[in-house]
Amino acid sequence: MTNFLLSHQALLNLCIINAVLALSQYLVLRAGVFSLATAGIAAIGAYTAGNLMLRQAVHPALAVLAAGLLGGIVSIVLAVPLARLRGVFQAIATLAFVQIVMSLALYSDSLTGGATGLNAIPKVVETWHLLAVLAAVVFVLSRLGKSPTGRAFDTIRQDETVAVSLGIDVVPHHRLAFILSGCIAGIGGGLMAGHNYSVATAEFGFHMMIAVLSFVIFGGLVSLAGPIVGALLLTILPEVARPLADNRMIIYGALLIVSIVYLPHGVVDTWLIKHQRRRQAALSAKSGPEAAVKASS
Amino acid sequence: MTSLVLQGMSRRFGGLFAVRDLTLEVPSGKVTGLIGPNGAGKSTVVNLIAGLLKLDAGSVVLDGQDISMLPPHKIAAAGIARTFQNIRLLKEASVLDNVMSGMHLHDRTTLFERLLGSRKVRRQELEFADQASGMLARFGMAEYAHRLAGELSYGHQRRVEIMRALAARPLVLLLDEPVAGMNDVESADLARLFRSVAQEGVAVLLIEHNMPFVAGLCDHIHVLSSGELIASGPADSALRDPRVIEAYLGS
Repeated sequence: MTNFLLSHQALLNLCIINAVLALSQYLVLRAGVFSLATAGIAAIGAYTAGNLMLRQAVHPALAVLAAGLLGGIVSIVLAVPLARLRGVFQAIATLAFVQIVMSLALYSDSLTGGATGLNAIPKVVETWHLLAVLAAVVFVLSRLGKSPTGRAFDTIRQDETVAVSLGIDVVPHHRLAFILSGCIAGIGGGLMAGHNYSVATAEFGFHMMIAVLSFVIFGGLVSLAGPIVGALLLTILPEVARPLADNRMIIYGALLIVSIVYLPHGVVDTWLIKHQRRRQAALSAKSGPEAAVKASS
Repeated sequence: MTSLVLQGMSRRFGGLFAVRDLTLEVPSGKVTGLIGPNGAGKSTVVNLIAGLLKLDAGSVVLDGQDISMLPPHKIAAAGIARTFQNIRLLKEASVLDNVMSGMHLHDRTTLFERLLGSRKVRRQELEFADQASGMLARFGMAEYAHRLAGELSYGHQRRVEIMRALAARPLVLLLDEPVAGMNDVESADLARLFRSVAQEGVAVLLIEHNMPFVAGLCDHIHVLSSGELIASGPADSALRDPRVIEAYLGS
């Protein structure tokens, strides 16, 4: 087991980083914000942490923290125009944001190293660091998800008119999800900088946007396990399918299409819904209403 | 004594008045009926009160305060809850979660506490679940607590929507055709519930076109036709008004 883990450590690390980025994307989608900004903010986080570690010799932990903070600050600014948009218009606006970030990264040589990127960043991020960050993000999101805010997110996503009729103010909830998502994306980018030796534009942008979206759509966007499982499966899959070399992306795409058509709630949420139905059937067969109410708390 | 007062409420769509100069009062502790044939503007009235549509003229006054200029979520916060003519539940969520979503206004925790999931948040969640369970029991729905709302029968979905509205503990409850598509037994059950809700001091405005149901339940009836009030009064006299009969049956 230990041997197996060691030989696949790089893959495991990649899975965890992708899971963090997937959770950033998950949060906005759960709150009904169709934002694609994660890929852009992760880039900002990565360049921030990379620069701080490489040129200012800042402690890696502080550098990652700063990346998260800057991700949050950029999101606060971006949230202002975004609050006036809905649905597909939010997607287009955030897509434009990602493209602007990528262009800036490519052309501001002095800050980002341009096309060559930032290189020779000390690799200081270990698996347990990554796990600790993932655990912290999962903790906060699960706590928030099980509070009235989580319910408000779900209500807004499913029906905004119902949400306002229940006294839920949509804009602050959208803003909260977006800013938190930005912090997580910034941290994810910071971790990449401290883990990959280098930061290059090719890792971010459109490519990453599609990847993190796929993680969430494939895994599911209600339960917290959804994006994590999605990131895990879709990160491992290309490695397992390595013998197929060039056809890898075809399999990847086919799997996504199959999951969208047949499991529109994603792998995890579909399973949970089925599980809940079974449990409900078992409960009502056994002891009727009282057990059902007890099981609620 | 709280009450909802509509004063000279008007709303035009294009050149056509959907609601014209409507004035009526919905007192607390009573079930007030607003009836009228299809297209009379009944649902428009609900959407105007709830703030989903803006008034062209007139005002909506709750406890002496004009709420007609507030955004919809503030109107809900002022104490107005509603159901929808076409049921709008969170189909992917459990019945219990649907009812608990109505308690959003009673959240007393801070964002920081919710981010860290403090004991206060967990205690409040338990309280909410408890209250919601109590409400499910009152509506005879306890056994459905963990079913997904989208899987329930039509009548049960209606009940969930009414519970969700009541979970906000509103001063005013707007019911937009709550018994549409139900049989007489189900309607009679709901009528009993509406009466008991009113007895607890809530001002209930019932939008319907099922006349016998309204006549049996409402203390006071207003009849709307083509956006205008054509009759008001106690149920039996309002329904015998020749203008009302004409509006429903033609002359």
